[in-house]
Amino acid sequence: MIADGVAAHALTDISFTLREGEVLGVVGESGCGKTTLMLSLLRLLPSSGRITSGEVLFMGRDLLSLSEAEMAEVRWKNIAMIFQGAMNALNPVHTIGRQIGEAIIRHNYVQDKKLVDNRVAELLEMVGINPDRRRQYPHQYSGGMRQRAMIAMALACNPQIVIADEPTTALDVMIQAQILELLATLQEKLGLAVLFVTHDLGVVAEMCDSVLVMYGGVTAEYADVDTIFNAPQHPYTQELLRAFPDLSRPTGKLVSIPGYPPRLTALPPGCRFAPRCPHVMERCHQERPPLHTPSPTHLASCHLLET
Amino acid sequence: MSAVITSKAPPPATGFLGFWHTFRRNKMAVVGLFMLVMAILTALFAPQLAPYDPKAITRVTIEDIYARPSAAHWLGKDDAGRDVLSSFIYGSRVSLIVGFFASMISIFIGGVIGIVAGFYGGRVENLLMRFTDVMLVIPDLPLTVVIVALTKPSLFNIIFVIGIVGWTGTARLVRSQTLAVKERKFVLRARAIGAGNLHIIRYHILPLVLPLLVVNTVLIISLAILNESTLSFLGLSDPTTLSWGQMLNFAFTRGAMSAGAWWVLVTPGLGIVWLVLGCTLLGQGLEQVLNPRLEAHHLAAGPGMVARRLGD
Amino acid sequence: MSIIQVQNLRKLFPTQKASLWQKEEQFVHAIDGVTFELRQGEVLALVGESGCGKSTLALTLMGLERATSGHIFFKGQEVTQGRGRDLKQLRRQIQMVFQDPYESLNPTMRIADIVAEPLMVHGLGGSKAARMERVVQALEDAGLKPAGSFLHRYPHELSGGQRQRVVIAGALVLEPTVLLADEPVSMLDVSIRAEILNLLADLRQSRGISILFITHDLGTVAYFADRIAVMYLGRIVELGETAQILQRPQHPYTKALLSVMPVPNPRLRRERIILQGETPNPIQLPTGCRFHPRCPIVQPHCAQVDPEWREILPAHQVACHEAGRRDNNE
Repeated sequence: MIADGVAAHALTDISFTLREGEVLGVVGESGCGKTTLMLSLLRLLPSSGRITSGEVLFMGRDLLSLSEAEMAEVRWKNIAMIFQGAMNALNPVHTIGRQIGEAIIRHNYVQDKKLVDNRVAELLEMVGINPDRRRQYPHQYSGGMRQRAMIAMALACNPQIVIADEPTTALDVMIQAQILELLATLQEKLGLAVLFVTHDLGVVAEMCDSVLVMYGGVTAEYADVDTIFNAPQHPYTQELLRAFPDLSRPTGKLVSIPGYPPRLTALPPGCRFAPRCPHVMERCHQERPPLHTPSPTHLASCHLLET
Repeated sequence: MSAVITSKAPPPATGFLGFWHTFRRNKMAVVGLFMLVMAILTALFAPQLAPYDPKAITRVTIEDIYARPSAAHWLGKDDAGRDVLSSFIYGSRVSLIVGFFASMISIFIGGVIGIVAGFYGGRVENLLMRFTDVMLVIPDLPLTVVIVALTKPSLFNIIFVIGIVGWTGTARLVRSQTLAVKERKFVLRARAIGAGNLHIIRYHILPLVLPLLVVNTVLIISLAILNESTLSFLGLSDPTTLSWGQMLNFAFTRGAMSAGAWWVLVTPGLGIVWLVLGCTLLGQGLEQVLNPRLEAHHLAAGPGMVARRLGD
Repeated sequence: MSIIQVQNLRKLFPTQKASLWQKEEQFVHAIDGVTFELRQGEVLALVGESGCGKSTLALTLMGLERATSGHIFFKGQEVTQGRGRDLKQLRRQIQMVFQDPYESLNPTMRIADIVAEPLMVHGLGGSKAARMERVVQALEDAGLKPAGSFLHRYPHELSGGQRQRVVIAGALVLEPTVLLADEPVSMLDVSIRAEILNLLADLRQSRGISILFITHDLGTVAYFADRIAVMYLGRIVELGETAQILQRPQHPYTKALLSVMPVPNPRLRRERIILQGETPNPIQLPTGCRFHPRCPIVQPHCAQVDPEWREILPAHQVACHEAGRRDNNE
């Protein structure tokens, strides 16, 4: 139903692979489509959103063709999510223990009350919260602890994939470091595949194995982390890196990218980065660049890569 | 993979044109406005619309009392042999005048008390809000009846009494909105540039409380109209001014029921319902138009929505 | 030359009044003995985590919060308990830029009115036309060109970066001597941040405005501050030149903060000093050094004696018993 709104292409031609035990960083500025991407994967787009084409293969099964009931099964059991802003994602009137327990029961992981309670305690211990605190309410937790509780909840049903949406954005640097360390430890211990959505390049460099850089709803660049940071091919990636403060080279100058990220309702016709690109050419304004492959594991959408 | 997001909310428009653009698409508000405008036009052009002069002295025969509706008198005649349609048309004037002016008084008192209490806080707020609470718990109707009975029942007194009784809800509403606006960062910024309290109220609080006041005014109008009808029906209005409540009063006390003259009762009753319904629809519609945040929009609502989905 | 001087400033917020059940009144120690100076034309960064009191400090300097004790001098004149006209004069000289550009602009006002508002409040700028001229100038100085295309727009029509420029223009229009910038870029996209920081740096250059830059992000500070003051639980624990602090931090808290700053280079995944636990609540402060419960190099006497504020190197002060005393740097 499109009454009299504007249909905006939030995402176009996004492709990536998440291997077992891999941490994939999804980087981009506000409005680049990272949230839409994530919600699309779980088929949780708001009612105004539609997935128009493509497939999401999870262990060979296309998630987009599953029935709603089957999808509900996959959510949380196979693919769990850690939200930004744990305060809003937790229900203030139930204890933390009950909320985690509910996630376990709902997805039929265990049914026995005693077993559920044990599992909750185990999960809390795993994320570094004293299990005795499971009978407390979210407001009795600090921001960092709430985020830990969210992680425990995501891990409740032993998922293979965890999608972490800006899990540390609202937190203080020290708490952020604690949470990142916890995520890294858990990821290694449980062999999780993690989709790490963030705007913070520093966090990506420290956490991820490969990186998908998004701009205006399309893939700008997709490669392993070392390539992205040390041999980026897309001008947007290059500029973004130069704009990011780096304490390891404090003599460098901070560069900004002129202009503003495009709004989804007013996307430029050609390359979406063209209006802000330092290497812009005439054709960039007309023609959308295809995804080039500078190397077999490296994708970048820029006309400059055409040889 | 590709995905499309349809943004339902139109681009936020500004100014009157923008307002009209959104307003037009709200069925409730448009219907309400239509009903209210109809009533206002009727009141304005009463002399042109009314087929007879309701105050004219006429010679009445026995057939004229509660005469049934006929081609000459579409809505029949009342106990004094007057044309009901004409009385009805003229009666709309009093209802509207009382509605508008009484609600202005209510809104003014409620607005000032609400803003002052919310903005200054502390002891001032305590005092004002306790006073509001006292006014709130005293039942409106007995209070108005007592005050009207003590003063001379004139149109002015009725307006005044309804006005000073009906402001409590507004005061509470405005106070809570003021409290919310006061905490916003642009108020702090205004303080930081050296602005005083009056400047902040005038430029930063009032414009953000105003939409709420407008909505509230429309809703209060319907309450005031209802109050006026009640008072007239109870015989507490100026007997020389013709109003719908008074028509009901006359019909009720002068045996319209036993005479089976339903037209004398139903006509003013429907008039009151029409006005009150119009105001309520307009008020609620305006609330939706002026407060677009009531509608969910954009992905920002994502996490909350997802949590709900996971929970069902 | 110092433009703002702060001496032993304290700001306590009462949380519970003494009552029948509660014998003692309790306080949040938001600022607890802060001493520093902001020099003419410098950028001083005030770095700390949330709840360390850095925002309260800014509000207290503006007179938006009243100091509990201590002194604030502006150009040598005490302004600590200023009221009425004095306060208004002070607020003409010191301007603030807030963190959230989406919240700090009144959504019902046009850009022109927002920027003109300070002039109106102070009765400056003369005629309407003259005032508008200053508004246009301020908008252009803040990098909104051509200013004419912004004058009649509303805040929601602008992007976050543009709104922050409007806030800055509103501050510039009074030609202040001091700018208090409270996390001015933390809500903005990475690619926009540098622009705003560069704008602030230019203003300092061209107008000699002193800037107190409040932030939690040491990364942005490194590019732009002359000196850094690190705050922890209502106190400054270390203060020195930017390069000094970044390369030779003395306080264990500063060291930990620096070590956890994410570095955008996967080849540099280094050892991080991650402090356990969270900042204690500022109602019941730890005894002795307030950092000792989380300090990696804590000594027995740290729990008893509050460390004094001392100059450990030239122009580099620190409040720590152990700093520089042993070889705990390497």
